[in-house]
Amino acid sequence: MKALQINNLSFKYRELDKLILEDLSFSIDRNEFVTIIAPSGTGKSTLFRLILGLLEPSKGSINIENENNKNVIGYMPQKDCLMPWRNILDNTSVGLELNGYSKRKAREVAQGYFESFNLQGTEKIYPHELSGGMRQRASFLRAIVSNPSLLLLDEPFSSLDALTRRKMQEWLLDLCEKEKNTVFMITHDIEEALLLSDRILICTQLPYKNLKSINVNIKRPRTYETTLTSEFIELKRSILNILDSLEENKGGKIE
Amino acid sequence: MKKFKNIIFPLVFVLIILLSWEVLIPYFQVPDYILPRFSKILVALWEQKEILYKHSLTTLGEALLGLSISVVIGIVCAFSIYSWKNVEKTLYPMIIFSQTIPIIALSPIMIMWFGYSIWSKVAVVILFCFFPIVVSTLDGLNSVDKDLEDVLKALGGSRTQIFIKLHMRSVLPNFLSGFKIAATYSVAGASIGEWLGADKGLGIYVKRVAGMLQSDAVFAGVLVLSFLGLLLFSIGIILEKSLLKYRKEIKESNYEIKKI
Repeated sequence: MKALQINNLSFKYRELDKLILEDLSFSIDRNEFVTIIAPSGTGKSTLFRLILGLLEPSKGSINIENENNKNVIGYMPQKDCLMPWRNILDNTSVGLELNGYSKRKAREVAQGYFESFNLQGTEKIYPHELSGGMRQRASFLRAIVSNPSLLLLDEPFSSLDALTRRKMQEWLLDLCEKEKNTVFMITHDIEEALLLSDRILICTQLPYKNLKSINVNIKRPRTYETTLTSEFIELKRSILNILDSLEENKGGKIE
Repeated sequence: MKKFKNIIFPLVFVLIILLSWEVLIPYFQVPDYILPRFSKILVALWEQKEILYKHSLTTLGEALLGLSISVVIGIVCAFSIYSWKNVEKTLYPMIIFSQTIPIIALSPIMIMWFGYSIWSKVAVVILFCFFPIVVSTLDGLNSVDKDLEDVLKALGGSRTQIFIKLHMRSVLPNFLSGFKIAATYSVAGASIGEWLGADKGLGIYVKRVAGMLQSDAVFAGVLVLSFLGLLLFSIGIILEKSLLKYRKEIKESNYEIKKI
């Protein structure tokens, strides 16, 4: 079974006339890192909200591999969305708490992740006292701590400055290479997508209908050096071409 | 040293005002029944201390009881308005409407309904206090971070769990702002209630001594009233300090961690 299987999914908001998604089908394999690139404001986040079950599809189905019936999805939103009144340890363990762990046990489990997330020493500290990169890592830890079968990352590093973003991308690359996770990420940073993913989906048509799938066959382990190799640049160029042709088709404007 | 700097300016300012009060009244020959010297007010405060104490207990009791009931009513109203669309449509306009009526004009009705017992004063206090609590709590509920709510839902949280862990927590700063406003109103409400008919309480005390043109005693009563308001207000401050600890300023030592 696929980690995520989407069949003929259509969606439109009740208040709006136009479809956001139309007859969309794609799937993600287990342990695959897939990125979706699309112009902003076109409904990527809607797609995520559908997968999360926060919205009901108008048509079609979404199937998520489901081993133990609960906490199957880890979600990391654009903002870090940490609770200002909880310290970092309690913020990261909240997912376990919601799933019936005792406070003590939840803290214990979350604590085990702190070192590999480079967050040791921040357990008792409140979010506003941390830097953006650390908050983002804490948010990621919260998503991953209940061991989800699918991780959704919604432009996870877009709010960070360029330097921190680079560091975070390297760190995520490292993490994903060590522990195989199934990840579905939204981004509009092509380099980020190429660096991290096994496969890239590009929206070529609006409303979302057919996604162009591009395999990123760059061997792992990758580092930031990889972004300078010719095959990386070649792939980047071809993606840029696809995006450019998309814009030309619509008269330079995507609505 | 820094603490000293913080209090020196307000202290000097208040001293200047009190001193000029003390000096200017005899200078301009203002009669006592218009405005007594500040020292006379202090003397009255000292001489009447037992009576004032007795009356202030009554007023404080009314204010506290009314405030507590307002908190309960306010929270229940805000949560039901937030949770059910129909309640919002029905109740919210009525609550707004209730505030367009001058409460002072309503107060005699409270006396007619509840008589001269403590409950007529408590009712006036509630009329004053529940509105700021409803509005601030509701604002807090409406500004709960929707993305955070989504995150918790995605993590598998049920509606009740999310309500307890997210809504009830993030509403606290707003609720406490409303509570602080209500706390100062409560004393005003209690004394207005007493004016309309009571045998005990600072409101009736002030009215009585004003009738006898004992303006130093009036001011002494007003001073005690404002002290009661301050006392109730400080409950809000204490609650804020203990419940919103996380808002404390960033400590020096944590700056190092921020750099990682």
